[in-house]
Amino acid sequence: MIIFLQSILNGLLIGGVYALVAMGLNLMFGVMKLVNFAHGEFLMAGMYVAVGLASLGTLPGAFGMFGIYWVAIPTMFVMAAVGLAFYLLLLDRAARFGESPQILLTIGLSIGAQGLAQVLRGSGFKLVPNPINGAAIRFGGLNLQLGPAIAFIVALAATIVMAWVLRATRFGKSARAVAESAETAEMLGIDARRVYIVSTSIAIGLVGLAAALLIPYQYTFPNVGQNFVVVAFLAIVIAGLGNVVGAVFGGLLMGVMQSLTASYFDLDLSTAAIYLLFLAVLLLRPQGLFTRGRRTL
Amino acid sequence: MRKRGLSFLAFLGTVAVVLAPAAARAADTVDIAVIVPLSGPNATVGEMIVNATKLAVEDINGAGGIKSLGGAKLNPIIADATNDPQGAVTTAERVLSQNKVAGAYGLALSPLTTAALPAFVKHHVPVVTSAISDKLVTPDNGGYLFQIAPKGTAFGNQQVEFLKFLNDKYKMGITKAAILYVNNPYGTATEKGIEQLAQKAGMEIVLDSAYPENITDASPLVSKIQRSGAQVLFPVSYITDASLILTGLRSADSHLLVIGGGAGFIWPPIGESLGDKVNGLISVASWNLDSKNVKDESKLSGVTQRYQKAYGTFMPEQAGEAYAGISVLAAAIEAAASDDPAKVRDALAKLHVTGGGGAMMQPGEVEFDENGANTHVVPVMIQWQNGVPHTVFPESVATAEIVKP
Repeated sequence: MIIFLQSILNGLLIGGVYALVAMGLNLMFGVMKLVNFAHGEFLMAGMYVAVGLASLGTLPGAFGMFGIYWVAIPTMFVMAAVGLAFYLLLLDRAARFGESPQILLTIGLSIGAQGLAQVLRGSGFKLVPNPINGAAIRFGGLNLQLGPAIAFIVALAATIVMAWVLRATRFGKSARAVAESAETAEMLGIDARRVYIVSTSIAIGLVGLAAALLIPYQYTFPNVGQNFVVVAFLAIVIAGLGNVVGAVFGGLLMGVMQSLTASYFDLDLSTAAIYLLFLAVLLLRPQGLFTRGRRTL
Repeated sequence: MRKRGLSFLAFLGTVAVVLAPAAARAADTVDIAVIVPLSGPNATVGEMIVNATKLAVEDINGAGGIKSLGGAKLNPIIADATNDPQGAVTTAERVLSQNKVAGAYGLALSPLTTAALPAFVKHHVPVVTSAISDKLVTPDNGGYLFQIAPKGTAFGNQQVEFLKFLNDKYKMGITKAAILYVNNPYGTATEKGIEQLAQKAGMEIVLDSAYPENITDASPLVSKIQRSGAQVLFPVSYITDASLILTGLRSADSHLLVIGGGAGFIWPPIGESLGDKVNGLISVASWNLDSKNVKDESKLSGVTQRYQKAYGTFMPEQAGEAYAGISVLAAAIEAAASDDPAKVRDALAKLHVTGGGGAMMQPGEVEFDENGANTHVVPVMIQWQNGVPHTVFPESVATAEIVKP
C-alpha cells in the first residue's frame, strides 16, 4: 500500500509541473487556436531568468530554506512581458497570413531559441546551490520531496486563480467568447486582439512561474524545455484541447501514469504507457477526457 | 641566346610558382578534423573537447609543430556533430569531403561515432575517439577507428573490482547490487559489463532497470532501489539524471553506497550544484586529472592547471581524453612524416606513446591493438573530496586515499 501511495504522490508532484506548463499551452490553443511549439523554449528562457535572479542572492533569515523562491514572482512578470513582446512583434504579424505561418513561426522560434541560449549562456548545466534540492518531509512511511511539493502546491493555487479569472473576470468572459468564435465575439464588441495579447502574456507568465519553481531542483540548460513540453502536449490532448483547467488534470494524470508504470513495471515503459493512453483517448474520446461536448476554456 | 635565356628564366619562374605553394604548405599547416557535438543536450561534451583541443594544439605548435613536416602547425577544423546520428554523418561527410585532413578526433558519443564511422572509412581518414562502446573496436571498423578511452565493458569490470577492494579493506559485506542505466548504447554497454562481472564476483543483482533519456523525475527509481534491498547502486547516468537520482536518494534518507558510472557523476556542474553534499560520491571515470601519470609529470599537471585557469572549472574527463587524443594524433602525423591520412592511419596502428601529451591517458602509455582498442588504458575510480574528483583506484594510478563511504 505504501508503494502505491508513494507512487501516486510522486506522480502528483511531477504532474504539478506538467500541469503548469500545460495550462499555458492550452490557454493559447483555446483562445488563439495556436499550437505553440516554442512553449518549451519559453520554459527554458524562464529558467535562465530565474537562475540569473537567484544567483543575485536569496532572501535572508525569516524565509529560511525557502529564500530562493523570491524569484518566482519577478520571473513570472518578466516572462509575461516576454509573452507580450512575442505576440506584438511576432505572432501579430504572422497572424496576417493565417494560422499556418504562426505555427511555423513557433517551430522556428523553438529551434532558434535553443541555439541562441547556447550562444548566450553556453551549453553548461546550471543549478544554483540551495537547501531545497534534496530536502524532504517524511511521514507515515511516505517521502515528500520539498521542491516538487512546492511546485505542486503553487500549480494548484495557479489553477484555482486561473479558473476564477476565466469564470469571473471581464477578461475571462471575453476569452471564453473569443474561444467559442472570434468573429461573433468581435461583432459583440469584444476586442479579440486584446484578448490574444493578454492570453499570450498569461500563458508565458505561467510558464515563467513553472520555470522558477523548477530551478531549485532541476538543471537549466538549452534543451531543458523539451523534457517537459512533450508531456505537456500529450496532457492537453488527453485533457481536451483548449480546456485550460482540464489541462491541469491532464498534467497530473501524466505524472501519475509515469510514476505507476515506473514503480510497478519499468520507467523505460512509462513513455510508452502515456502514448498508449494518448492513442486510446484519440480513438475513443477525441474531445478529451475532461471536456464535455464542445471545447471550453 | 638572349631569347633562350629569357625562356629558361621563364621556366624557372613557372617551376617556382608551381612548387611554391606545396613547399609553403609543407611548412605551413596540417589540418585535423575535430567533430564533436556542439549543439543539443550533449553540447557540453563538445565544449570540453574543444577547450582541451585548443590547449593541445597550443602546446604542440608551441613546441615546434610537426617537425617531420618542417615544423608544420596543427590546425583543427572544428565542426558540430549535432546530437543526432544523421547530423553526425552529414557533418563528417561535409568536413571530410571539403577538407584535406590528416586525421580526426571525435565524436565523443557512441551513437554518433557508430553512425559516422563509415564516412571516415570511405574517406580513408583515421579517427581517434573517446566513445566507449565495445562495438566500435571490432574488425568492422575498417581499421580507421582508434579508441583512446577504455571499452564500455571495462568500466563495469573496474566498478566491481573496486567493490571487491572495498569489501576486503572495510569488511562492508556488500552482496546485493542494483543497476540503473540510461537506455542508450552508452548505458547498455556499461550495464552489460557491470551485470556480468557483479555476478562473477558472487553478487546478487536485485534490480537491473533501464530508464529513458531526459527524465524529469527520479523518485520512482529511488522507490524501486529502496524496495530492492540493494546495498550498492551502480547508476550509469548523464548529469541531469545523476543529480535527480542522488538528490532523490538523499531526500529519502538513503545511505546506500553509490558507485557512479562516469559522465554525470564526474562533471564539474554536479560538484558546483551539490556543493559539500557531493563529497564522498564515488564514480568510475575514463580519465581523471590527478591520476599518477598526470600528477607525477609536471608538464601534464601544468595542463590541468591551465585548463582550470582558462575555463574556470577543473579539467574534466572528456577534456583530458581529448588532450591525449589530439596529442596521439599529432604523434602519428609526426611518425608518418606525412599529412596523408592513410599513412597517418598506419602510423597510429603502430604507435607506442610513452611520453608527451599522449601520456595524459592513464597509465601514461598508449598503444592500439589490431581493432583500434587502447591496450594499456584502464578506467579509474574517483571520489569527490573537497569538491574535486580524486583518483582512488586502481592503486597503480591512485593518488588519494579513499574516505570511507
